[in-house]
Amino acid sequence: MNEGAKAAVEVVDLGKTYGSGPTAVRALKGISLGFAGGEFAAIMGPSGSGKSTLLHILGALEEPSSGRVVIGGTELSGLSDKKLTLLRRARMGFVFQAYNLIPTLTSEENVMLPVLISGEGTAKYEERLDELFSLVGLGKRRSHRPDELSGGEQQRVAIARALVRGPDLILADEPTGNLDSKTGAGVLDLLRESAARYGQTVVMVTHDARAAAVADRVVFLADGKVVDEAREPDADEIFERIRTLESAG
Amino acid sequence: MKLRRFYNLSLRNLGARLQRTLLTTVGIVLGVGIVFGVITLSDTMSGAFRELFSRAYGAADLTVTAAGGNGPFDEGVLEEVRATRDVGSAAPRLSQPASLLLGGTDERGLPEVRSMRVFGVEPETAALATGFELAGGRYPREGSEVALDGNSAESLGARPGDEIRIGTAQGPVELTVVGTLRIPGGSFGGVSFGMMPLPEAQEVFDKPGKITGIAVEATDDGAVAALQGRLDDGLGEGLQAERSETRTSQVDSQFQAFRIALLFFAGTALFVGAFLVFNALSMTVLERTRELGMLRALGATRAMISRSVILEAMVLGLIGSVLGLLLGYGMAKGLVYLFGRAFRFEVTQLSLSPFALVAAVVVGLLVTVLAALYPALRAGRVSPVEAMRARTGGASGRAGRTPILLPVLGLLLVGIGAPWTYYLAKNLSTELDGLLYASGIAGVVGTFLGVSLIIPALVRPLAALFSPFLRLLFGVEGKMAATNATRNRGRTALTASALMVGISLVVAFSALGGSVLGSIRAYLEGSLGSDFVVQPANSDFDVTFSGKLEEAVARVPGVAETTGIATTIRRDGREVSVVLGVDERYPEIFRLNIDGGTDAFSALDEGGALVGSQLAEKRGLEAGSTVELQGIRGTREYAVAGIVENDLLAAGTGVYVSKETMARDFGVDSDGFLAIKAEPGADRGEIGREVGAVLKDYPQLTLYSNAEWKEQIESDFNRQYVFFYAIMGVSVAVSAFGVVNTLSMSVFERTREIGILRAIGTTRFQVGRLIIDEGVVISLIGCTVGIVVGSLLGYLFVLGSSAGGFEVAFYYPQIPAILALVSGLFIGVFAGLLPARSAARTNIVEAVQYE
Repeated sequence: MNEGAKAAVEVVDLGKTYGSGPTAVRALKGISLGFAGGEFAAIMGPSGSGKSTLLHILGALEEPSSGRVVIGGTELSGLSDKKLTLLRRARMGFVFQAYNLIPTLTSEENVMLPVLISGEGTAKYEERLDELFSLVGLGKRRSHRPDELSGGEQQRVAIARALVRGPDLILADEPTGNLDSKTGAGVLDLLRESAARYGQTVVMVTHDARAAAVADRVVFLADGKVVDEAREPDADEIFERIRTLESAG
Repeated sequence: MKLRRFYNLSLRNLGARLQRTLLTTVGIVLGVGIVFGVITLSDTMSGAFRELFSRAYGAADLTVTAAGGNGPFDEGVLEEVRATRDVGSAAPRLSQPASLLLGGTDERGLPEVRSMRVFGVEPETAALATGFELAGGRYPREGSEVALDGNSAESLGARPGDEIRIGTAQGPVELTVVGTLRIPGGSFGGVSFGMMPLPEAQEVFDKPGKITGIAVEATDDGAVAALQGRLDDGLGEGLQAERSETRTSQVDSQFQAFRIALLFFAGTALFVGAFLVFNALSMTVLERTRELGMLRALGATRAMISRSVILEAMVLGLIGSVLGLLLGYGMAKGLVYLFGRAFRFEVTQLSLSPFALVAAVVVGLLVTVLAALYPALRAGRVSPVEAMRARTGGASGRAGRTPILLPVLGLLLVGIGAPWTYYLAKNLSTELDGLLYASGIAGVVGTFLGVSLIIPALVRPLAALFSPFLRLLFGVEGKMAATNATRNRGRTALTASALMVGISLVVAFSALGGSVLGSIRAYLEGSLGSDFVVQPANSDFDVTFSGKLEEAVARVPGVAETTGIATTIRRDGREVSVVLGVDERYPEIFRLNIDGGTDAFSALDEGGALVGSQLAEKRGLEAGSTVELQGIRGTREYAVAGIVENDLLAAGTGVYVSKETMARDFGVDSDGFLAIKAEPGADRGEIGREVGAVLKDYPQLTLYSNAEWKEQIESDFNRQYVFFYAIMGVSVAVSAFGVVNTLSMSVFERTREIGILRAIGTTRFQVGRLIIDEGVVISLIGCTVGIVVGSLLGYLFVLGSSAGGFEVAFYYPQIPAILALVSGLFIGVFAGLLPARSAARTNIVEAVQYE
């Protein structure tokens, strides 16, 4: 499963409306996007542009009001909560801004959590675990609990957790939002490296132009629509486009 | 703008968290309900008894009776009384136990009977003699006429002119109904009353020329006190004149002890309810930290914030108390029914006192507000900065250090408290002393408090102990649940403590009951030499039968030996003892274990006595000393010939005397119990049938084979236990709600964690199981500790009872203990269902962003 090009992620004419009647809020207004296997994409946009909603829908955490989501050839609409949960478990990894580790578990246990939840034996993951800890550079911190780790270390553990079962798609919501720029850069390198090594698609929502500059492709959202796109831009270029967007909005 | 005042916010909060509000109220409702139920029960019972006594002894100013009991005395005394100055009128009565035949048969095919008390009265003074009112017809005048109480007449369908049958010590008697009686202002089910002409009653009950009481009316109220002294002095030793109220207050004091015990059980339920309130309000305060900080920032004072939490609690308390009263009414009905079943009589009407109403509501409110104090204080301490600060998400992953001081203090409390329970049990059967009860109960409460202080230190080791099992059973969720349970150790400990109290009471009482029953069983198997016993159908102490019966039974072929026993209960202040009149055949059937020589028994014929070990210990008696007893001839001394170590019939409080002494000094000349021994090799089935035929004329008596008698004793015993289990069950139920509350709080605190788990692929089912497992861990901690503490208390109870005299061997209550453990599992699972559902329904997106 891990080798070769990954199946693409595709959304077609995606719409999302919260509430109904006069107070309804249309967060997404017909978004169509495709992400190639192994692509590292960043999604940017001002607050309220719908980027988080898009990420949640891609992660099967929320259902779209209209449109289709296809992940690795599987159409998401109409799937039961149980099927969606199993899909998340098998094909996706999440990295959150607030790390979101389970405080009662050690780093190692946190990383193994998806394996434990799926009921697979932990034995065949021993090597994988060693590999991941050396990848994230926390080999000596495996039995530490989250509150004994720094923010950057916690986020590295969270990334290892997202990677452990070799998912096709990694969704990252402001992964550097709580980190200083140096630590943030380290985390981004890690994401990049792992995506390249395992051929995974990474979709990252961020405010930070420097973080977005690490991506292969940056998608700009405003007011629930895709307004711009850039291939391998540098930070200054991104910053410029954001400024334009914000002044326009 | 609906919110007019700051404090209306409290009501808003209650409404906004309706589910929790209801859950919290349940605790108060159950607590108040059980308190109200128990007070009403004891009011009803003591009211019923008081009424019974005041009716039976008449509403007269004074009553002349034989000293220390209801023994018969010569009717000539009546003339002396009437001749005394200031006596307005005097009414004689002969009060005798009998049984009313109801005409049907019970499940064993035996005639159905109801306990009855028959009063022989003069027609002219009948109204004064008993205090019953005539409801219809007339008072009996002559011959075999009877006036019957309305309830009984109704259940028999008897009208004036109809015949009824009653069983007496001498055999069955047919009587003609001429009137019906009424107890003014109430009714007392259970027991029937009848009135007969005095001469006829004296003949039927074989008490020629005897009466048992004289109701005296003074010429004017002011003369009552002087008259009492004059009668007391004038009538001589063996007779006494008492005010009617005196007897009533004696009944009250006996109920006092019972009432304290009941209230103790009710109190545990309320304690658990208080804990529920505490937990719920703490949760609310925690949840609203930001909101409270914001209010503080806007200028609300600490006091205002605290008051608003207290107000919230008061509203909860009020709603809970009112609902509790409704529930309590139902509970009182159920309890009175159970009580009636357990102690074999029925009461038809509840007495609802305003005191019970007010007490239940006040206690409910007070407990709620007390439980709210700490959360309120904490709410007040929230700083305005909290409004700006992100929530830290409750407890961190690592539990803090275990404080040393509290467990040590707890051990100290247990060390002081537990021995008290030993003394309580030791003195329980001989002393009816409210203070002793209270101190014993304080000991039990102290033990519970101590254990509650120790439990926080036990949470982690116990959770670690359960963890491998849970992991085995439930996989990774089980292990995580065990860890989660230790995260807020204080709360887990509180929840578990509440459960511990109920469970340990159940186990302790099972241990005591099982041990007493086991010891009785062992005694019956080891020491009882009889093959059959004859006993009143309703285990009524008052029912007796004449010596003719024993003679007839002894003539049945195959019967080797019989021994009849006459009994009377003596109450001397707070001390209770049972006097047993026995004959020389008694030791051949009941293999007595006498300390004082084997021929000590023959001393009874010379007016000596054998004393049960418990009574002996209390009074410091030994062979050679003398024991004082009050009888119809006044207080007399009896030489103690020996101490009976295995005094089963009187549970160690017996005084064995000869039949002659019994009749002469205590006025009991007929037996209430007969033991029959068959010849070796005789056909026991045949003997049973033949003896049954002899008993045909005595429907109030039942023949039991040894096996049946054992069964009867055990089922009587179990019925009494069901009553206590019902009360303790309520506190277990309340604590189960506590588990629900704690789990809801855990779900709330870990919203984000649950969100992450869901996001990375944990199914709803798995998340739900995580919560349920946590519930199982908490309740297993409570139940395990409860079983240990209950076993300890039970052991002390049993030890105490044994030290008191009646030898009780400790039988460990395995089945209740296992049931307690299993119920721990079930409580955990059921308590987890609702919180698990809300955990499973967590909105992932919101939860993950949750701060």
